[in-house]
Amino acid sequence: MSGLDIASLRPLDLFGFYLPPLVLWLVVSLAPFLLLRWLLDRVGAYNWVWHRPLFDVALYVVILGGLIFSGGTRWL
Amino acid sequence: MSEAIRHGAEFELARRVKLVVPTIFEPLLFSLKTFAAAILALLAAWELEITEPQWAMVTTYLVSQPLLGAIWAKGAFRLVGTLAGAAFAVVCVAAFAQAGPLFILAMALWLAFCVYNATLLRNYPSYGFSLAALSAPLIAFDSVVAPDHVWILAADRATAVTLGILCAGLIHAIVFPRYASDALRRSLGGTFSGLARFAAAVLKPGTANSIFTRLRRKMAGDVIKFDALRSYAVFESPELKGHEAALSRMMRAFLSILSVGRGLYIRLDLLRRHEDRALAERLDPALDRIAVALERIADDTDGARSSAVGAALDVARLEIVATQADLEAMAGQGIEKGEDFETLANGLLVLRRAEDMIESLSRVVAGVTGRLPPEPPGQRMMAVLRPDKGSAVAQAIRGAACILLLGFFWIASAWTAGASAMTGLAIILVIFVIVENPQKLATHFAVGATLATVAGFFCMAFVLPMLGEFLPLAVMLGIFLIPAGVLITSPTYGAVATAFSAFFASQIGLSNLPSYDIGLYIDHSIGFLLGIAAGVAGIALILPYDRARARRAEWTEVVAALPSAARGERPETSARAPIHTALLKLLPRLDIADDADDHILIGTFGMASLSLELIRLSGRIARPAFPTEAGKPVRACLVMLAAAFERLLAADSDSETARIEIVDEAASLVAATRTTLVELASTTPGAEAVDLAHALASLRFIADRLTIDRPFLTAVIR
Repeated sequence: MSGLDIASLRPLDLFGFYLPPLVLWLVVSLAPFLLLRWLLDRVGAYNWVWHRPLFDVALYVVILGGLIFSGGTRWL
Repeated sequence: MSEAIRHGAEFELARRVKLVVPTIFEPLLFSLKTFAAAILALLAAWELEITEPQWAMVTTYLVSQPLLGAIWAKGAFRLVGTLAGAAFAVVCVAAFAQAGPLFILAMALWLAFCVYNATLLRNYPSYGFSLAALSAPLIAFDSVVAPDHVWILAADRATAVTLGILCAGLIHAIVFPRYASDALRRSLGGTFSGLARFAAAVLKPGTANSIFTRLRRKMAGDVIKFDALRSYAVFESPELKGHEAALSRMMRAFLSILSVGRGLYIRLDLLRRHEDRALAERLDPALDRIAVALERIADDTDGARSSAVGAALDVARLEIVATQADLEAMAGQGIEKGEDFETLANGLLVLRRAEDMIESLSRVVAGVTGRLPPEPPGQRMMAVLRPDKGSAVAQAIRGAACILLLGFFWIASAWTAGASAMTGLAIILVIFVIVENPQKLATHFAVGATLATVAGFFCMAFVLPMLGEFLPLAVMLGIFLIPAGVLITSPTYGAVATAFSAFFASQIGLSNLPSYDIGLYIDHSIGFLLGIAAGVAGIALILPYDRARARRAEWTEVVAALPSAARGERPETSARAPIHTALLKLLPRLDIADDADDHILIGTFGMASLSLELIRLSGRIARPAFPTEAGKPVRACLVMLAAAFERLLAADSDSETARIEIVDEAASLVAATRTTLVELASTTPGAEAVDLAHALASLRFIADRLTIDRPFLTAVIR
């Protein structure tokens, strides 16, 4: 694990308003999540999924965690 | 008779067993899930150090619903609505915090805009606008006293609301999710077998009137529920999108069975008891066999999908064909007396109506198995249902007016709890925006909020100071919220329970810095309750819901469909479409437990059948084979009936006597035409006599509608 970069935990400055960095990560991870979900649906992978909402939540958490631990949003 | 009673008792037992199981399990599961979501939201809000974490909990109770098909899609609209509302509140407080009247005006306009769109739109976008309308006042009214902190308050409140929505969505989606599509499938199966049993009861000799009426009311209720489920399941579950047209046609098939069933039951009852016992004895063995086949369909656990159901429908169809051939042979042998000819017409009418019920059931089977033939061109049910702009404007005006009135009172009186009152008012105005008749529910809501305030007071004053740990707090919340959550799904106590749960969570004071200031609690609670009361008064006094208006509009639409039917201007396939459309618009507002509404429902069914019969009759006499000398009087009768229906529409809507005169005149016209046909029959040869008998059967049915459904045609709806 590369570890969490402390610099990425600084609050975001949105036109003078401070927001927690998690908000940005939550929004950013939506894009790959939606894309992956659409792809899985297209190839019929959901036919092998027992509990789709549970799978979706897990997928989103994995993507979000992956994004945070791979260096936050520095690469954006 | 004893058979019918036993049958009724069995039906009642089955109904109770079916009702009891979900009434215990499903609401408890829903309550536990919502409570879990509320606790999760509270914990998350504490963790994020939100100043008023109880709003996260309140939101879970305000947004939770038993069926949450496409939770993420709906959640997205809710989140967008919440953020839009929060953004507007920030802008509004920043710009107008120092100018009270302008601030109130801006909030009133925002509420009117959101309420208008929430009423006009349906489903996801409607939820979005409702949440936008709800979030803005929740944030703005509390921050106006401290405009410097508006950003913190807005961010906190918006985060709390968002957390509430996310937690409710997450728990309801992950833990035993209840999809609208599953509920729809169950409802379809239940309604299908229920209607098969209803059709059997119609045909079976000896079904008592009381049993029939109870069965008819129950089935009408089931069909209304199916329609409600269908209308939002299609939007909640994307996989149902492609089945929208098929579901709409199944709904029409259900309505057809109900409308045919009542007319046929009354006809058979009259035949068996007074008019023609000999004919009844001749038809009864066949009708009994058809009823047995229909009961087999009703008992089939696989429902419309089962192959046995298709086979049973074929048996019923063959039985009808054989009996009809038998009756028509009477005409072939030459009928001497007018009485025999009436008998033949009566028999044909009964068989044709029984066939209509079988065909409607077959259409449902075809819809479920995906073998529905393409719909012939003509009027479509879905395309005709337009959003009601008038009611949206009324809701918007009411919302804005309430906010302005209470807002100016707040400014003028410098009321310390004015902000709480405005929040209570806004919640009432938004929560009941898409409810047809909000008065009763809003009153229940106010009762729930009052109970919650009292219960909250005792917990805050006596219990909370003793609880140090989170677990005892959760147990205390559970003691109040889990039983209340069970009641949320009940149609009777739903509004009280929702209000109780949401306000109990809000009033009890779960903030990060708890204050046990009793004076402040009482002041704010009274303000909040007075705001809710102002909302209830506003709903009752400002542009109140006019129950009779929607019913009068439906009556006009139904009767307006009759002249064109009498002139044969619609094809037989869409004979009932305009009437069913009018009924579908009214259906969600009908309360069939209410006798006046039940009369409208059965009257509309009668008119749908009348419309079909008028079109069939005009189609029959237009055939070249139909005897010309009989065609002329029937055509003249139909033209005059069309004129009579038009006069009925134009007649003074407050005068029952004017309408009675018109309907009586039409009934005597039909009676005279029937006499003419009977006289002609004695001189008409075999094959043509069969045609005449069918025309006479149609006239007989029309006469039935003009007498039995006379109260509907002549009613003054107030």
